[in-house]
Parts: sequence; structure tokens; C-alpha cells
Amino acid sequence: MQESPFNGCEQEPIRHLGKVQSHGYFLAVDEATLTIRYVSANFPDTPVPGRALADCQPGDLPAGRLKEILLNIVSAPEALYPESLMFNGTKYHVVVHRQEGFWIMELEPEETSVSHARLQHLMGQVMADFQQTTSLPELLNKVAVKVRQMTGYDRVMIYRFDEEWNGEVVAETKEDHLEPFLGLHYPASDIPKQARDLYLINLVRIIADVDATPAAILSASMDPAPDLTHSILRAVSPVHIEYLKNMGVRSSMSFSLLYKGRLWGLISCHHYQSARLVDYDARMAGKVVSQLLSAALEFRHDEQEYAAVARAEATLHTLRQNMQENWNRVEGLTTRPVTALHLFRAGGFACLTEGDIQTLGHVPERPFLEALTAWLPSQLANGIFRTHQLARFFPAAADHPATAAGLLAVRVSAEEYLLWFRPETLQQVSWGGNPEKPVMVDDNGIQRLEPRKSFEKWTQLVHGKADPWHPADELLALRLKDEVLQVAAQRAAQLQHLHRQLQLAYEELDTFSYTVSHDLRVPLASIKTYAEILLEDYDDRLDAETRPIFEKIVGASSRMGELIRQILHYARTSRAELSPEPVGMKSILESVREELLVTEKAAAIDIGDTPPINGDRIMIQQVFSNLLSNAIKYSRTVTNAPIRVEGVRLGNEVRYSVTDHGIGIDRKDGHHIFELFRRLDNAKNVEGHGVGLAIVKRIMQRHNGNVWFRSEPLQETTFFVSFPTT
Amino acid sequence: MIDVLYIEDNPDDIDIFKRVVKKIEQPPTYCVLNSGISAIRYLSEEETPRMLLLDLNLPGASGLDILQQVRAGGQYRNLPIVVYSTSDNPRDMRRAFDLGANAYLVKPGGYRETSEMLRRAIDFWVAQNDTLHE
Repeated sequence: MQESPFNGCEQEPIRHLGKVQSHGYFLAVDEATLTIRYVSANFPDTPVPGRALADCQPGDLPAGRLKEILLNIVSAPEALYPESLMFNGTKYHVVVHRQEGFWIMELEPEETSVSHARLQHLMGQVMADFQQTTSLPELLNKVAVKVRQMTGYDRVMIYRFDEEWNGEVVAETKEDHLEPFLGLHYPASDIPKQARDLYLINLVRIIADVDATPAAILSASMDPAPDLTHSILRAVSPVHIEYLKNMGVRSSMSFSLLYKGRLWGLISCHHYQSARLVDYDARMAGKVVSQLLSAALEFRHDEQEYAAVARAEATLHTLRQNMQENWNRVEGLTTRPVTALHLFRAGGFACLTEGDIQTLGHVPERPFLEALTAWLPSQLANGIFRTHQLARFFPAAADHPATAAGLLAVRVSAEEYLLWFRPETLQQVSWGGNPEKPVMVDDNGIQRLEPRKSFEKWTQLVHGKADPWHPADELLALRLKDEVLQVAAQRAAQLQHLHRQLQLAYEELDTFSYTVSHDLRVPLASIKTYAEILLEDYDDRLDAETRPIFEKIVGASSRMGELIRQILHYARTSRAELSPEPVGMKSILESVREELLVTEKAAAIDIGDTPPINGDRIMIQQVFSNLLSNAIKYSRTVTNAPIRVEGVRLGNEVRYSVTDHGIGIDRKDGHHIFELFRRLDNAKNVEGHGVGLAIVKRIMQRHNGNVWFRSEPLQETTFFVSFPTT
Repeated sequence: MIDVLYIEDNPDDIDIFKRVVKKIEQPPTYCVLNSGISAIRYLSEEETPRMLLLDLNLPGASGLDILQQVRAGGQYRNLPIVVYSTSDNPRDMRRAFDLGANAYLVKPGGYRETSEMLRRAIDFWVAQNDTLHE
């Protein structure tokens, strides 16, 4: 098993060791009968388990004294306050607590090197520090200094856990000659999980002397050792003792620091040259300071969080406005002074929308983003994905540490994703010793943890990790997603409204174009007709000079009439209702041919195969009328060159071709010929308005079909139209 | 009984119509009215003409309105109605036939084509009506 090296330590039974530190005495008394059940072996004139506490007469204590003091303590109104007791010439605190039907009495020597008055004075100063200090690092330093003054240890550190329970020394005060630990990191395995669990329950621990031999707890029966969770004398695990010894520590004490029910860190005290016992009163003072600090942590964190929430709300508000004001909502997120990058700390931002990628800040190059986009949906089961080590999930990220070490991704829709990137934070981590603990296999072949022996500063460079995302970042990303969806919904409603307006405008335009065409064509018809009347009925009054003038009037008004007619047709094809039906092509082509041959008597049109087309009969007729009349017009100069039209079924389309042998289309003009009013250089001498092919193109678009051509000028030119069969 | 009742508001078209008709060998009798209301009144008061030549774009009631009203009663079901309009919009054509027009002629906008078209239409429909009444 890969994780097994830590099993040894993780499984060590800390609470039920059945030993206590030997600087004090331990006694467990049955709550109901007041008989002695457990006693530490170092108790002078060891009281015998099973006997009544009242009969117990250790050292210079009279019989009944221990019972009397126990009853005093448990019946006092201020719950279980310790009492003093002179015992064999030493002053002890008698500390009592209740545990599983027992009264546990512990006698611990009083130690008065720091007087009560001094403790009270220091507490006063601590209160002032809390009120006056604004920065957290400064406050931590001041607390460390005060705790050292209260306890007299050689070194007092404040130790902070990260998310993975590695620790870092964030504040320190010490004897000058000691090597500083400030800034050093310690691996999570240094303080195993069950020790951390205990720290949450029991906020103060003391190890008076690592060199002292702990005293066994004796019992009258084979009863298991009592639970020592709340014992002030509890002996710590031999592994931890060894660990402290390796570090050169003789005595230690620690206070737990909590933040929202979680272990935030420790105030940790070390003493080196001699054993050091800090007595109950000083420990309680230190505990109050640590609890004040815990409260301050919550308060300060809350303040910071409120400020961050207020900032984020303002940013969200601005982003929503930007999206509403910009027609393109992605631009609303990326092009204004406040962008999606301002929502929380990130190095780069990308918005993926239907294959389009918009980016901000420092993001990896496009191929990487495209690969990421393809991979991402599989990770977004819950609509969101965050990591501060992207390379662990998406190995290609290892090549982009400067941009994509961390990723926070949110799915807006199946086609739209918001991504935030964080760069690698190249961390220079100084460990207090190499954090890789060696594994030792004991005599039974079981892997046990060897406490670390080396605590020399050991520096490591951490690669590929970004700053971790905060859960609040995730919430903000989801909030932004909601905003995007809301704006999209608003936009859809706006579009619908616009669509209605556009429909109305189209209807008006229809009426308008009808009216205009009618109103233009009526007077134009009069001009032409009267010019013709002059030529026809008053011929005798015209001379050779005036007649051609009237002929010009007739010609010009004919061309204008035709132009107006064609423009109207063009406008009509884009809006007219399409009524698709199977159209027999033979009859249509024949009638178009007949119509065209009325005016172009010299032309010849061959009709080949005529498979039916699915489409609008009138529009299809227009298509072939335009293509064939063009073919005739542009091959007039070539004699004996029949035009050919034929159709063929190809897969799920019907393709017709119209081939002529006329002047053709120059390659350079090819892409223009379907534009409205576009006439080609070589067609100057052929009448036309540049509307016909534009109409063909529109009709083909409306049929989801296609039109294209192939031309070798003066050789052969073919126009193709394809209609889908479904 | 006149041959042609022509409903038209454009004086130029009326003038051209008159010129064309004058040139026919045996000119038809006709009456020109320039609004839908006067046309309806004429039909109710006078003898039914042999054919109705109807412009579409008229002030007040449009040509299509007149067409609908005339065809609404069974009274004039044998009256040939020929729409004669500038519009070549297929929608107008379809609508005219739906409402019971016998023919739809798009004004060609030239003297020669106009006279040709009018002559043939009058010849055909007046003769047609005569056959019907014999």
C-alpha cells in the first residue's frame, strides 16, 4: 500500500496509553462509591485500587483529606475549580474532571516563577494588543511575545496549517542563540490526524520533560486504561517524544487555534536546556489568549470576507450592466474597464462560445485552449470544475505553467464555457527537515513510522501548483453564469420583439415597393406610349431629324420599365411565400423556350433529360428564364451554337445545367457575378441590369440549393443549379 | 347595351384606350368610369355591358373590391370581367382569378402592344358574350 508509511503513527492509540507524566499524580475514583479504581504507579504510598478514597492515607496526608478536597471541588459553585494542597512538603494544584463515571483527580505541582499579578498585567496588555493591532502578522507576533512572557519558554511559535495540513511557522519569538524556525514548513505527517482531532477537544497540552519516564496507571482489574482525553498529565506517544528529542526539545506546550470549528494552527512552545513545567494558572492564562486569538481570527476573516463579497457584488453588477449594454455579451465580459478577470484573482480568462474563443489576460495559446475545450465537458458533470494543479487531470497543462497551472471552469450551456486560469506560483518552501519520513519495519514485519531525525532547513521548489481557488471563487463563477443566462434570456426576448418589428417593417416595405413600382411604372408607360403614338399616328409630321429623338425616348423608357420590373422581382423573391411542390420540368422549360424565342428568333435551345424538382413553380420558372435568357444574350455573336439545358439526379439533389458557347465570364470577375447590379466588362454591349443572377442566387438560397458556374470564355460556359430532393 | 364598361382612373390610359378603340374598324360602344362606386351604381341602374375592363389600382374601392362585389350576386355571373393592370405580381393575379376574373392582362406600357392587346381582348370577349346570349 502506497500510503502505509504513515499508518504507524496514524494508528498509535494516543488516548488510551495507560500512562501519565510523572511530574504529577493520577487518581480515578468511582463517582458513585468513591472507591479508588485507577492510580498512577508513582503515587507515594500508592493507594490501593478497590479501596475507599476515605481510607486513603498517602504520604503526610491524613486519612479523609483527599475525599474532603474532592467533595469541596465537585460541590463548589464555580465548576471544578482546582484547589491547593500541601503534600509531602510541595504545594500542588488538585485538578478534577469527570470522565465516564469517574472523578479523575490529578495533583500537579504549583509553579510560581510568574506571579499572579504579572499574569494579570500581561493579560491586560494582550487585550490592548488585540484592540490596537490591525495587521494579522503583527498581532500574531505580539501574541507570541506575550505568551512567552507568561510561560517563560525558550521559544514560542505560531504555527499555521494549510489545506493539506502541512504547517508553517508564521510568528516566532525566542532566545537569541536559538536557530530561527520562522518561515519553515512542516509536513502534515508531523502532527498526525488523531493528534489534530485531540487538539480540537483539548485546547492545551503540556509535556513537562521528555526525559522523564512516564508512570503506568494501575488498576485492580483487567479494566482497559481510562480515557485520558481531558487529563492534564496524559503521557504523549513515544513517537512524539522521540520526535521532540530529535529536535532537541526538553519540554513543550501548545495551545490550539480554531477558525470556524477547524484547527487553524497552534501556539507552540519549546524549552531546550532544562525541563519546564508551567502550572495550571499560567496555562489557563495562555488558553484565554489563544481563545481570544481564535475569536480575532474569525472576526478578521469575516471582515475580510465581507469586504471581498461587497467588491464581488459590485463587479457582478457592473458585468451584468456591461453585458446588457453590449449587443455581444461576450464583449460585455471582456472589452470594458471591468472584466470577468476582476471577479476574483486570476491570471487569464477565456470565454468559449460555439467554437469561438475570446480571451483576456494571460492564457495559453489557441491549440491548447481547443484541446482543453474538447476535454472539458467530460469533467463538468456538476457544471463546474476547479483545480490548482490542472496538469494532474490534463497532462498537457504541464507545458503551460505560466498560464494554466490552475483552472476554474463553469458550463453556461452545452456550447458556452467560462474559464479562469491561474499561473504557477513557484514556491520556495523551506521545510524544517526533509519531509519524507523514512519508514522502519519493526520486528513483527509491520511498517512503523520512524520519527524524523533531521530538522535542518531543507529547501524545495514546488512546481506546477497555482494558488488554490477559494470556495467563494466557485460561488462567484456560478453567479456570473446565472447572470450570463439571464442576459441571454433577456436578449432572446429582445430578439423576438425585434423580429416582430422587422416583420412589420417588411410588410410596410412590401406595400411601399408595390406602390413605388406602380407609381413609377404608370407615368413611364405614358411617356413610352405617347412617344410611340407620335411615331405611329403622326409620322407624317415628323422629319428625319425628330424621328430618332422619339425613338430614343421609347428605347430609354423601355429599359427603365424593365429595370423597375426586375428590381421588384428581386425584392419579391426574398420575401414571397415559398409553396414547394413537385414541378414537372419538361413543360416549364418548353414554355420558357417558347417565350424567349418570340424575341430571339435566331436562338436554339436543346432540352435534354428533365428530372422533376421539388420547389416553388413560379420561382423555378424565373431561375430558368434568367439563366436561358442570359445564355441567349451572351452567345448572340456566335452563330450555330445551340444552348443546352438538362438535368440529372445526383445523390440527394437534382442538378440542372445550362450550357452556352458565348463570350463567357472572365476568372477575375467570377465572384462578383451574383451581386446585385453587377455587370461585367465584356458584357457592356449586351443589354441588361445586373439583376437576373442575383434573383437566381436568392431563389436558390430560399430552396436550400446552390448555384455556380464554370466558364472558358468564348469556348463553353455552364451554369449549374442544384435543388435538394428532400 | 354597350359593349365595354371600362373602369379606369388614369386619364392617360383612358386617352390611349379611346385612341385604340377609334381605330378599330367597327368601333365598340363603351363607357369609361373612374371609380368603383360609380361602376357599381352603373351596373345597378343601366343595362349590363357585354364586358367589364377593370383596372386594379383605383381610388376608394379597388378593382379587386369591385370584382368581389360584382361576383357576389349571381346576377352578373355571365359578365366577362377582364382585369387590366400595371401589376405583374403573381399574388394579384391569383387573387383576381380566385375572385372570378375571366382574364388578367398586364398593361404592356407601349402603344403598339397596348392596341394589339386591347383589340384582341375586346374582339374575343364581346364576341364570346354575343355567342352566350344568342
